[in-house]
Amino acid sequence: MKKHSFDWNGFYRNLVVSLWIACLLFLIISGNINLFIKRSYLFLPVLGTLIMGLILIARLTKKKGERKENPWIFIILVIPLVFAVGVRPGNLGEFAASRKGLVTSGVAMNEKSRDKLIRNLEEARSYQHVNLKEILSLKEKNVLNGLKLKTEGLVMEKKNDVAKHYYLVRFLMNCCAADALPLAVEIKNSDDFATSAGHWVEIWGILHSGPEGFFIEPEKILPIPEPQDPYLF
Amino acid sequence: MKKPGASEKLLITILALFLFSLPNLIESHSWQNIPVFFRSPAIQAFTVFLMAIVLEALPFILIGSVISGLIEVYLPEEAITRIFEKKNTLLLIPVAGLLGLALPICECGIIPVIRRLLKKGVPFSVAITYMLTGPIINVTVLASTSLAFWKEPKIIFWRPVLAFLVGTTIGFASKRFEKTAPLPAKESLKEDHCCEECCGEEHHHHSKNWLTVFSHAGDDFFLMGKYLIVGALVASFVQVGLPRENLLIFSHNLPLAITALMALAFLLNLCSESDAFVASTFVQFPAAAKIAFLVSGPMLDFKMILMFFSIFRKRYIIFLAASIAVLVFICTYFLGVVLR
Repeated sequence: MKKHSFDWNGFYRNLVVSLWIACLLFLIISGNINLFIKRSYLFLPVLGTLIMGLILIARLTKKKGERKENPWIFIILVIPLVFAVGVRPGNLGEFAASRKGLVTSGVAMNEKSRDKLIRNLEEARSYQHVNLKEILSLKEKNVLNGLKLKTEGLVMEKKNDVAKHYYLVRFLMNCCAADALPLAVEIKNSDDFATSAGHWVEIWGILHSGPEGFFIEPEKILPIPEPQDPYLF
Repeated sequence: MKKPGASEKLLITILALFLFSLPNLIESHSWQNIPVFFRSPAIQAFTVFLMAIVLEALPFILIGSVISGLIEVYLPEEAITRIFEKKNTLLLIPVAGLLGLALPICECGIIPVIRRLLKKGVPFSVAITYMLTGPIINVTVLASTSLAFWKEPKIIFWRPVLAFLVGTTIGFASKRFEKTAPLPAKESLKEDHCCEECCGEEHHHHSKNWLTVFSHAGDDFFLMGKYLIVGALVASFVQVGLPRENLLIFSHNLPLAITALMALAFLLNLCSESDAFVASTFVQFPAAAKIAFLVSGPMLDFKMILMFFSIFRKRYIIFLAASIAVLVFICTYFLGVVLR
């Protein structure tokens, strides 16, 4: 009689699929999925989990012969999970912004939203709340020049040969964190606020348009906690 | 029972560690209860990029795998033969170049589908054309490009046009590789059932039910998943290790700007739905270089090169990569000279 050995290959395959299902379920249920992909794209991991679940059911139900995989392949398949568990990822911050390069113009926005924003800004009388995406997507700079605004973001310090510059930064997520863009507006005359570098703040001030793009002349900077969902969409 | 080897023991250790932390994860609904092994911002950012790329691409690979499973189970080879036997392939190549408008699928999902279509007998050159143009010439990608480049309509126009030109040219050129380029079916589908060789049993090869579809989808997941993850590791490393501002030194010279952005597209492994938003921020670069980024990226990036190994022979992969790079460079260079 032929002796059957334990099917390590099938065991690893089922284990890898199960671990991915567990990871996806955890990310979806806990809301941590928002660290990585855009909220409106949530249906994708949900669909992925569903397909994985059906793959697992099919694997457990149907007995079939499979080619033996090198165990290193299974290790590759769980590397992201090991990183996710071991590193405990958070929101993108100063380091990622410095690597991606600050974006100070050329941001796209839906035409309807832009027109609505311009109408609101033209009617604004006191401090208007605008976010960095709205500021950088408006080509009609006259609407924004001299605007009294309040906005929030992460203060980032950038040095060049001559001086230190401070920027207010927020990440714009298009699909996922890998394509997130660090939008930035310079904060001028901000020496008094230099200690805010690396922290989230709410800025009240006046927006100006200069040769190198927009900058904010701050009147008041208040420290705020990092928002739970710090990305712009 | 066979004793596990060294690599098997390592795998078991990693999996056990992961399983050990799962109750904490589920109980806390947050990362807070997990010990932090790495506090470095670079590793934090690396992990976020890695997870983001994998979580965004994985569902598309799975969808592609399910479509591939459906093709395997429900599309008989005779039907494919009937469709293509009396048709001139040369006429079908341009049609395949526009097929993405009717059957949209991104570059991650398209590989398992192409693999299965080739196995079923779809002409090689037709499948290649669809593989190259489908991820660019589709409604979702055209819409995202239009939104990202509302200030530069020439990019909205030239991206699909150049993708069509490059895709169909390579499609026509691939006709001579019809017999030699694809891996033999047995090798290309080696992760799938191998009943007679492995278990010596006759079973569900011809059963047509959803379990068989998902069983095939699982095979594709194991085949493509590893390439996706290696590609994502490289892309995350590039995102963390290569400051984007370093590329600016190439922005004033057209050939160098085109080469730099094509290289960046190759290394970043971005999805074709979102790459336009990233390209729109390269404001210092000429429009032609941005078009090169947008056309070459979905056709040729690091993870796709790895995935190609599941379908094609090495010689054809070299031909494919070189012809995409050369054609995109030549087209965008002349476009850059004209647009200047």
